[in-house]
Amino acid sequence: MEAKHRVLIVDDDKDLVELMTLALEAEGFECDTAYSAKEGLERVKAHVPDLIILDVMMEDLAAGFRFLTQIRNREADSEYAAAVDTPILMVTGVEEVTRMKLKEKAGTALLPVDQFLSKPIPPKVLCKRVREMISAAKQA
Amino acid sequence: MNEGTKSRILIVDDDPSMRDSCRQVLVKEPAYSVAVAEDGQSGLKAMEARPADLVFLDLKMPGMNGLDVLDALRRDYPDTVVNVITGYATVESAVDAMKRGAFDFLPKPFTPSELRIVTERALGHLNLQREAKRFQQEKEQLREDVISIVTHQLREPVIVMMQYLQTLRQGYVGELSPLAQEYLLKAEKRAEELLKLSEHWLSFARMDRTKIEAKRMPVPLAPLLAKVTEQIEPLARRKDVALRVSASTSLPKVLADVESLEVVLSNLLSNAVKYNVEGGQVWVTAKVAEGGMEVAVEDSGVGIPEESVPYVFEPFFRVRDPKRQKVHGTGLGLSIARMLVEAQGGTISVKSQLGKGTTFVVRIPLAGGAIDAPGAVSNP
Repeated sequence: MEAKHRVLIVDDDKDLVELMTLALEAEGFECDTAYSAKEGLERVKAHVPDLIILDVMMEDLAAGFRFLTQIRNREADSEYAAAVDTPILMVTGVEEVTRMKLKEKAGTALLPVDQFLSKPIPPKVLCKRVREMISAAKQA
Repeated sequence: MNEGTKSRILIVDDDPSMRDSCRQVLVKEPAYSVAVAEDGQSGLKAMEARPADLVFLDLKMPGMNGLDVLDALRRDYPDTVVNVITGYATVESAVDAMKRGAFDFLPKPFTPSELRIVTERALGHLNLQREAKRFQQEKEQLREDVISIVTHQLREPVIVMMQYLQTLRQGYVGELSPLAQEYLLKAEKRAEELLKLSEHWLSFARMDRTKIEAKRMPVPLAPLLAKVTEQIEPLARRKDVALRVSASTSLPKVLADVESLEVVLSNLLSNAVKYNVEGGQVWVTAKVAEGGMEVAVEDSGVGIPEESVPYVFEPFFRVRDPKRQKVHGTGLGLSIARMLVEAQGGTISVKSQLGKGTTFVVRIPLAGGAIDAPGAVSNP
């Protein structure tokens, strides 16, 4: 049997993490969880996942962005070099009310995430997206 | 006393003894720092080097006319208070100077205590003005902050609630009866309305006419219409409504704030789809008309009852019509649209026939420049 794909969920809302975990595990993924950007980075260092689900505002407004710059740091001595190409799905509940335009910037040099979804995300949509992103990354 | 916290006073007078005696009187007050200039030109130069809070300006001087100096000061240093000194104590010249923005006048000859009183009065006025301005700014900042915080805090629990509902409905915690699924879906829709309401409320509260006005620039309309149409397309497909856009790429640019205009158009288009009938149509046309660009959004939808037409742009107004019951809205969309259009110097109007359809027309000023020959390009 093929090993399960591992998804790291980085979000400070415990309820949302639980619900995402429930759905992803039901659809055959293995989940790892972190409730802050700091914890997320530690989890990545301990075990590079197949995909990262990343919230934007956590311990502070820019926590998600900070996580991103660390992970996507392409310098040779980066602590997270092994995860530099790990697909990242950015999720947030504030896209519609802030003027950050994350949806437009996702995938550009301004916001080096692979995909972006606004919360709430119907679990079936989330699982489908995660599956597609992982298989695209494996093929690349 | 620290130089930086002193009130800076500049005396502009061609009479050296006058300059000197005024200075003598005012420097006795430790809270004042006093500079002098012998004519209008050097007075303005002194202002350039270091703007004063208060200027005493002699109206009759050789060289640059006192009233011209006054105009220049009012134009370039609107926060500086100007008091005029009139040697030939005619009421006319003083009144003229006050009309042109001087705060007070001091007829020659005057006593030291008269000079002190006039000075205190002017600086008191200045302080009051500064306080009022600061207070206004603080108030606005506070308003923005409160609105943003409340909105975010309101959204968080709703988002989590919806996530629970969706997880239940999609069967991740066990099979549900069709009725249970239907009820969950209804609960979800109502929660979604709450999110939409918070979005509308926030953009309504954030709206700042002067900021929108300042952000206006020449905007080509066709790409913007294409972008908005693309956003609405999925909704239109779900409702089986056909979107027909006809805007020539050679239309002249409009003078608009592109973000605001996008909100307006996307609002009108999504309304035209939402309040349409199955298999209905929406036509979007743009043309140059008197007074600017005219963008019309026409639908073959349910229409608005005649008695409701005058109120559709009012905040929180919603048309009472059984056919519209299934469409939930916040009652803010069109009032946001009107405020945004008017802030850009445009107008919005509506025509409707119950059961036939509704047409919204937005007029936006042109950016100016040459109008190319039209060659219509359709974007179905």
